[in-house]
Amino acid sequence: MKLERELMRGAGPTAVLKLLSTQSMYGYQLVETLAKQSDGVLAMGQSTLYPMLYNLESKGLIEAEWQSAPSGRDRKYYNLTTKGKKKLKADLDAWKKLTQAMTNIGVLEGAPTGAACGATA
Amino acid sequence: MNQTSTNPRSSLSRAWTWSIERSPLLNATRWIIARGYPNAQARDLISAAKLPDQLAKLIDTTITKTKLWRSERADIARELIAHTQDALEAGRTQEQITESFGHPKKVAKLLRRAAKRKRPLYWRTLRNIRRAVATLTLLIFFTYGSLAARFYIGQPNITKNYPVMINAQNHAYTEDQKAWPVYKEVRTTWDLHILETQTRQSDFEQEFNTNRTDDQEAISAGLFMYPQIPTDHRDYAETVQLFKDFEPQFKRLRQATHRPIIGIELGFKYEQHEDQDWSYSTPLISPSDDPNENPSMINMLLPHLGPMRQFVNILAFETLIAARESDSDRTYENLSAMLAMSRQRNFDKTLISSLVNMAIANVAFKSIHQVLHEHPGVLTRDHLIALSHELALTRPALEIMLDGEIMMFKDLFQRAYTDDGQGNGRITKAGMLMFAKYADNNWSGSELEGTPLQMATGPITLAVSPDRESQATLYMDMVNTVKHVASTGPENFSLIGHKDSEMYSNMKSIPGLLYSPVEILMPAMGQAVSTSFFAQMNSDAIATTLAIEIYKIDHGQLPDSLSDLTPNYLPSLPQDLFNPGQPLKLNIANSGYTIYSVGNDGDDDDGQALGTKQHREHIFRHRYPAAKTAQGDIILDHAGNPKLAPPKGLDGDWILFDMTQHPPK
Repeated sequence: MKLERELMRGAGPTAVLKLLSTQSMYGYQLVETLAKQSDGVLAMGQSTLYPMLYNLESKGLIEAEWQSAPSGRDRKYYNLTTKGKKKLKADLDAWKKLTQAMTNIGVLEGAPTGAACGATA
Repeated sequence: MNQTSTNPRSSLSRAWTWSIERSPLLNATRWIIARGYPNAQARDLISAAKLPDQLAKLIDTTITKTKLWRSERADIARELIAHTQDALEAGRTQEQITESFGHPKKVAKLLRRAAKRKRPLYWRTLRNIRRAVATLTLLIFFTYGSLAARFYIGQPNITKNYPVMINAQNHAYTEDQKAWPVYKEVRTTWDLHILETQTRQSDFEQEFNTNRTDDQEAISAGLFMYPQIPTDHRDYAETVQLFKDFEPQFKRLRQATHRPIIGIELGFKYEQHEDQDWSYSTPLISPSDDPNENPSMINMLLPHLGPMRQFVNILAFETLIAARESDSDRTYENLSAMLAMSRQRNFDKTLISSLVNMAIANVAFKSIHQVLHEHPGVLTRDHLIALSHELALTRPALEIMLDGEIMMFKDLFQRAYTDDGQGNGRITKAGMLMFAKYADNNWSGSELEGTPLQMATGPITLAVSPDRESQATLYMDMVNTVKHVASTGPENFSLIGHKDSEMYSNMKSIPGLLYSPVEILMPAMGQAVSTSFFAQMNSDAIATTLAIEIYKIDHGQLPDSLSDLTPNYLPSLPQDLFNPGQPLKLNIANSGYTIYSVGNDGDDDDGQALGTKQHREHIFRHRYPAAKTAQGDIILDHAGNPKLAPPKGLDGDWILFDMTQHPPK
C-alpha cells in the first residue's frame, strides 16, 4: 500500500527527519529504511525523495555532506540540524495530537475518549 | 557523524579546494563555460559510473531536463548515480529501478523546483526583482495599451451650437431695433470722411504721447484720437470743421445708440471691404447649423467692439465741441448717446464685451466731468436730471458678465471630452491637442496634428487628468467665487486679485496642475473685477455730482454735506466700496468740491489725493486688503507675510470726481 500524494507530502518529511535523528543516512538508505520500517506504506522513489531532501535542506532542517565509502564510492549523507531537531519535535507533537484526535473520532483504532465519548453518549 | 570518512585529502588541500571553489574569478570562468556546456560535468560522471545504458540514459535525460546550473546538475547526477549503484548492488533489476525512478520529465521538474530553493539569497532576490520588473512592465504595457485604446477611440459629442444660439436671439428683434446696421454704415462713412486727416492724426498721436503727463492716458492708433486735441493746436479748427460736416451722420449714430440691442450676427471670419480699411463688415463664415462644422466659440469674432470704442471717442470730442459752442441740447444728446452705448449689449455676454461696456462708460464719465467742470451752465437742470436717470440705467452695465465665459467653457469642453450623457466624460485626442495649443497662446481655429511626444503622452494625460465633471465643477466653483467677490465688494478681493491670489495659487499645486484646462480658460478676473469696482464708484460719484449741481441750481449754493441731497436729489447716499456701510465723502475746497472714497487703506485723509489713477489701481490689485490693515510701516502681503508699506506719498484718498477750480495733478 502506498500513501496518496497529499498524505505523503505531510508524513514524508516528518518520517525522514525522524530517521535522520538517529543517524546520518544517504538517499538509497533512506528509501530502503522507510519502505522496510513502514511495511511499504512510506515507500518512495527518487522523484519524491530527493526533491523532499532538497526542500528540507533549503529550509535549513538538514544538511548534506559527501563522504567516500570503503568501497570507494561517494555517497551524500544527510544530517539533522538543530533547527531540524526543533522542527521534528514540533512535528511529533502535532502528529501525536492528530493521532489522538483521529483515534477519538474513530478513524484510528483505540478506545474513544474525551469529547468523542460525550458525543457518542 | 557515524560514517567514517576515507577522504585522503589533508586539511590544507581541502582548504585550497574550498577557496578555489569560491574564487570569484574562477567561478565567473566556470559560469561562462557552464553556460556553453551545462551538461558536460554531469555526463562525465555518468560515463565514469559505467551504469547500464538504460539507467545512464535515464539519469542523463533527467539531468538535461532540469535546466539547472552546471554544478547543480553535477551534484544531482552524482547523487542519482550513487542511488542507482546502491540499488543495483542491492539486487534491483534495471526495470525495477526505472519504474521506481518515475518519468524523467516529471522528476526533472520536481528536482529543479527543489534545487532552486537551495540557491543563495542574492540569486533569489535578483530573481524576485526580475519577476517584479517583468510583471510591472507587463502591467504598464497593458495599462498603457488600454489607456491608448480609450484615448484614441474616444470622440467628443458636439451637441450644442452656441454661436447659432447666440445669433438666434437677434431674430426676436426688428431691423430698426438693431444698432449694428447703422453703426456699420456710419463707421464706413467715417473712414472715408477722415481719410485725408489720418496722417495728421498719427502725427498728433506721436506728439501727444511724447508730451503727455502722468495722469493722462496714452492714446493709440485704431481709436479716433482727437478728443485730446487742445483748442490752440494747429489742426484744431480743421478738425472741428470735419465734425460739423459729419453732423448728419452723428445724428444717426446718436439715435442708433438708443436702440435696444446691437444686433450683430457673429461669425468666424470677416471680409475686407474694397473701399474701407476696416475688415469687419460682414461675416464671411457664418456659424453652420451643424455645430461639428464650426470652430469653437472662443474663435468667434466680436467685430463690433472696436468700432464702438471708436465711436465713443468720436462722440467725446463731439461733446466738447458742442459744449464749447454752448450748444446745450447737442451736448446732452452726445452724453446721453455715450451712456446709452455703454449699456448696449450683444447676446454673446462675454467678459470682454462687458469690459468694453465699462470702457465706453468711463469715456462717458470723463466727458460728463469735462462738461460740468470746464463748461458749467451748459447743461440745464432738465439735462442734469435726465442724465441722472440715464446713469441709473447704466449702473447694471458696470457689472461683469460671465455667461459668455461659461458658454465658451462648455463649448470647448464638448469639443474636448467624451460625453456619457450625464455631464461626464474623458479627455480625447482632439481635446488634448486643443488645450496644448491654447496653453501655447495659440488661439486660432487651425487644427494641430500633434507631435510624436504629444501622441505618446496622450494616454497618460487620460490617466492623470480629472474627468469632465470634475473640471467643470472646479471651473464653476471659480466662477462662483468671482461672482461672490464682484457682488460683495473689495473685502474679498484678495481671493482673486492677481495670479498669486488664493483662487489661482491653488492651481499651482501638484493636484491643481491637473486642472490646467480650467486654468487656461479662466481669464485674469482680478483685473476685470477691479475695473468693474472702479467704474461703479465713478458712476456713483458722478450721480452724486449731478445731484450737487441740481442742488446748486435750486439753492444757489453747495450743500453742506451729502446728506442734504437725500431724498430729494439722491434716493440714497452712494456707498464707499472701500468703507463698508459708509457713504462716499464730500470735500468742499478751492471754490469747488471733490467727491472721494477713503481708498483701500480705509483711512479718511480729508480728501488728500493718493497718487495717480494708475498708482491707485495698482495698489488696489496687488495690496488690497494689505494696505487697509497696515500698521506703521509694516503691512501683510496676500500670503500673510510682513512687507514694507507703500511709500508715505501714496497714502491718501481716491478722488473720484474733482470739481475744484484747480484740480491737483
